[in-house]
Amino acid sequence: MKEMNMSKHEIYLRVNGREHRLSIDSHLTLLDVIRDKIGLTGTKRGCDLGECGACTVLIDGKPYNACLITPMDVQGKEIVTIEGLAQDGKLHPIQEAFIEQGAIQCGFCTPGMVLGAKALLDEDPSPSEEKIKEALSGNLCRCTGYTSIVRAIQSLGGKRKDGREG
Amino acid sequence: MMKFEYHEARSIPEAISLANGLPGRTRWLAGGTELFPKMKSRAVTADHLVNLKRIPELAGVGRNHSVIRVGPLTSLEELANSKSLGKVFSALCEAARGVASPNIRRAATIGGNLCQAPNCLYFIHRNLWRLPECHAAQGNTCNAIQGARKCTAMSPADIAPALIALGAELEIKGPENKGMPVESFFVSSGVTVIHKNEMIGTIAIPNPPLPSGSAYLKYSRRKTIDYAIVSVGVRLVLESDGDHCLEARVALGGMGPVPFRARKAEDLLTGERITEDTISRAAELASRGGQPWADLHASNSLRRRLAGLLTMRALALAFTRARAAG
Repeated sequence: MKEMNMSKHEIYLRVNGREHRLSIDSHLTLLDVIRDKIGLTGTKRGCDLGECGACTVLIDGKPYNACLITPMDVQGKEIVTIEGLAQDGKLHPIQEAFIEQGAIQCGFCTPGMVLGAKALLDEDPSPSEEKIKEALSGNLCRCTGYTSIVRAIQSLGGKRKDGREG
Repeated sequence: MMKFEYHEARSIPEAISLANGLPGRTRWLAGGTELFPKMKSRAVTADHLVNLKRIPELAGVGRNHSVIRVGPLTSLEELANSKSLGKVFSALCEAARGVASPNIRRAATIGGNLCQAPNCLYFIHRNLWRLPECHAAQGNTCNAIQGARKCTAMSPADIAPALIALGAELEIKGPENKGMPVESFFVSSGVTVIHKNEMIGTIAIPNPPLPSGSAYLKYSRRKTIDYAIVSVGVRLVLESDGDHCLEARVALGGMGPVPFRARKAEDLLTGERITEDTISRAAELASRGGQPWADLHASNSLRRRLAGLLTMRALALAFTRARAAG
């Protein structure tokens, strides 16, 4: 029993702007904690081995595979999951673009794709097709054939936050 | 994932004393991108993980006039985009850029890449498939090739050939500190010379005399995610005439249980004029070295053909770069 107690850790996570103080077993990954402890199931568990990217979350604005990260390492960092994008019930422009361009079929890869796209567009507002493909190369989609996903991201190219072109 | 006790170290001596004092199997936790998947599939086990990411001196790239020092916890992402490495070390940038996917490169570390366990499916899934413990798991059988007396998995380290080509040295920290060239670090696939209470302290890459150029090429089934089936790192140092080779280093991965230098190819090039002919003869020699086994990923003959082709292309690339540098 003593060992069971030893492996509990008090951690402090900031997810989508909300603070969570949790007591967790050390063998849980960030994905386990986000889905099963915090209850945000938009982050998907695909392969759980880092190969599919369905569990992509943003940590300080950069995409990581949540299934390969220990929550101890991201304490105090800004974690954004797919639930953190929509504001006041209004979808994020990237989500709108995915719907508009038919970039969603079964939808399992979509949270990871959208977050990967957000990190890319934050860094480069009008990325080339090649850059989009490279940035999302760790996110697998088995339905769309990727064409519509790339098109959705390109459709946002050049659009600035104030809505003007350029 | 299997349960383990989690520890954090804030200095190298603290990490080493933790590893010495803890009972059972202790492993270092660096990026986790190799360790966690292999712990989830029960390929590797650990009673304790010691997180090294709180040790500041283990991360980052430092440079002075004669040597570049890369901390083992430097992320592959940082190396792939590193400006301080510059053109002379392009083999290292290319090797880092070729690993897995962007998401994984952000977390994965160069030290972890050097220490990764074998990627043999019979090793990774032996518990799922109820196979006996193999050589790589301290057993005495090989589940991939019947009757093999030692582990037959090919060298997994994607980065190692680039570091070997660049003449990198490892400084090992432990109860006693020691140093060695990267090519002496590997014993067999996924097994290195370091013990559980030792770690890579620094990777030191000498600044070669100019003009020199390096290149790294890898062949894998998909461009992302997949490990190298064959990988080649080369570096050429040219004489001041820009035609003759002063020093050549050719390193191969995936052509045997450990990455190694293709010495015959190196000897052929040293002192010679670099031409299409010398390059293709050196590539031919490189393709004949090593002990590649056929495995699930590639046959023996495919590996040899790839080694020849990649060596030829990498040498041509390194030569162009060396001339541009001179």
